[in-house]
Amino acid sequence: MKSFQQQFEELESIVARFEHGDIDLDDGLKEFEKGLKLASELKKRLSGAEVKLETLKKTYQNE
Amino acid sequence: MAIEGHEDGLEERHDLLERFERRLFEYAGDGLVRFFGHHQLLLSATNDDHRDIVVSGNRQESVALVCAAAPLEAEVKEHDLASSFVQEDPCHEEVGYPEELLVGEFKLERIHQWLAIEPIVVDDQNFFHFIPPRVLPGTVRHFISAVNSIHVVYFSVPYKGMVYSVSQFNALISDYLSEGLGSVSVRGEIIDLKIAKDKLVFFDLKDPYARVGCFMMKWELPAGIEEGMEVEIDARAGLFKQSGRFHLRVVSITPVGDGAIAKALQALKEKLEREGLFAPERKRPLPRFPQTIGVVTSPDAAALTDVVRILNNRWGNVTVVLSPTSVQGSSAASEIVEAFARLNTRDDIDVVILTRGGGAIEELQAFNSEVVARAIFGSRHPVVSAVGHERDTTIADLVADIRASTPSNAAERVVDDRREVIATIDRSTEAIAQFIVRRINDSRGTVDAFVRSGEFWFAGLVDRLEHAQIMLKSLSPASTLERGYSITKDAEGRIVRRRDMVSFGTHLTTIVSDGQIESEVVVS
Repeated sequence: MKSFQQQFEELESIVARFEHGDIDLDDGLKEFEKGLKLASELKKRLSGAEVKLETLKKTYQNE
Repeated sequence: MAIEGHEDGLEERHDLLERFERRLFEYAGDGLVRFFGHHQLLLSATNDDHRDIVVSGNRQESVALVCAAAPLEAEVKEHDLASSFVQEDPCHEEVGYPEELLVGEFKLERIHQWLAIEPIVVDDQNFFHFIPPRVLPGTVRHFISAVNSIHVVYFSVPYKGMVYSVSQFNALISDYLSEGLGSVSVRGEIIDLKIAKDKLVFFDLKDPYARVGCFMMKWELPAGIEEGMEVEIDARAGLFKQSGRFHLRVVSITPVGDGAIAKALQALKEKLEREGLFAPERKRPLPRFPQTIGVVTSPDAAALTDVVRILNNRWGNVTVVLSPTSVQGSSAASEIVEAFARLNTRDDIDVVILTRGGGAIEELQAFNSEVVARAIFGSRHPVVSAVGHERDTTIADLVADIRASTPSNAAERVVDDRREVIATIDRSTEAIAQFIVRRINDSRGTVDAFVRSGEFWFAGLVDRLEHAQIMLKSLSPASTLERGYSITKDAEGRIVRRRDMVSFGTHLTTIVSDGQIESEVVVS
């Protein structure tokens, strides 16, 4: 599964493609739907999950 | 006459000991007593007549050895003996005991066992029983301390006729001072600081009344220690073997007093800056969306709770890996270095937060140390420090890739706020939607031609657009439609963009954020 960062950057690059204007309408709608799907997945990842805490053991347990 | 003891028969052994003791009492000449190994105790003594007495036994049983020692200046009390017992296994530690000690007329070779001592007074002469422990009590060092605590110069006054050479005497006293006295702490002002051959450091420590010579190696001297500075040293006393000169061999040296501490800190800052540890060019960027965050701090302190709370509020979907350490006290610096070393072995850490809670300025010592600075500089992953807080900038803050003011602030620097990221995502999708709308309008000519030719894909496009709008709306409250934009279509489903597309009475359908509005043109 792609990382949050990878998906986010994909969405950003879709926007960039549109900004450059080099996209025809049919492709554009495909990209738009792809962008919406990315947006939806990203927002799902942002909801709910809590911080997980892991503790490393000290190498020496003195005294 | 030689007496050899066997391991069997405790009674026999005690018998032997009694005889041995009596014999030794008679001897006033040079004696040689040897202790061997951990398990076998072999004693031999020779007297003037060169007679050998050999007693052997294992350390589980008492073997008494009597030696002559210097006169007692204080009475030995029960608790003095107790203080020589420490519940530690000495076998793990090679005690820095000299090969040979002169104790009265007897030489003791390297002692591996713990010995307890018990005084015996015979004919105004003071003797000591050396009894190997049944339960391993303290170290030889403690034995010597116990001896010192009763003011015994265990290198006794020279026996009549005993003459040392100068080098023997110097070595004797040097060993006694070093091993007998052990480590001492002395505070004074540095004067006459000299460096010889670019590696030997000599200085005197003084107070208003006296001075004492000190010695150390140049590489042991920390940055910023200067003449005139008030310092505290840990050292061992000794004599230089050749010159016989008394000196303190410095093991560690720290400035005391605010002025001295500040000076040393400044000198260290300048040194590290010259080496490039603070260079802005080498600061590493933090990953935008970290998944695993290392934290170096005390596990009990509020700093950790603050970091986790803020991370939860802002983002949530991360793993925090705590590498615990003390953040104050003398061991803090080395513990922090170890904490970083543990995180360096992990591949999955994206960023490290080094932090502590609030506290008095003295407790920042570890974060102003050279070893911690180098650990941060050498950290595999970028480091955010939240140590000095608002007013104090520590060396750790200067070396770190990012400096935060508090633990909470550090957490804020490390992760985005999810609400802001959601807003960014929504803006992206809006932007795309607007481009689509514009493209459809721009390519209207083509679209009309297609419609006339009966192609369905235009309808499909509009459907898809409407569908997309609905999707967009469901995802983004602040969508285009909600902001007031709408799409108006005529009865044939064409998007109305210009006035000449409608006339009086044309039926219109306007799609707005929450549905449709049917209307009729009255003026155009």
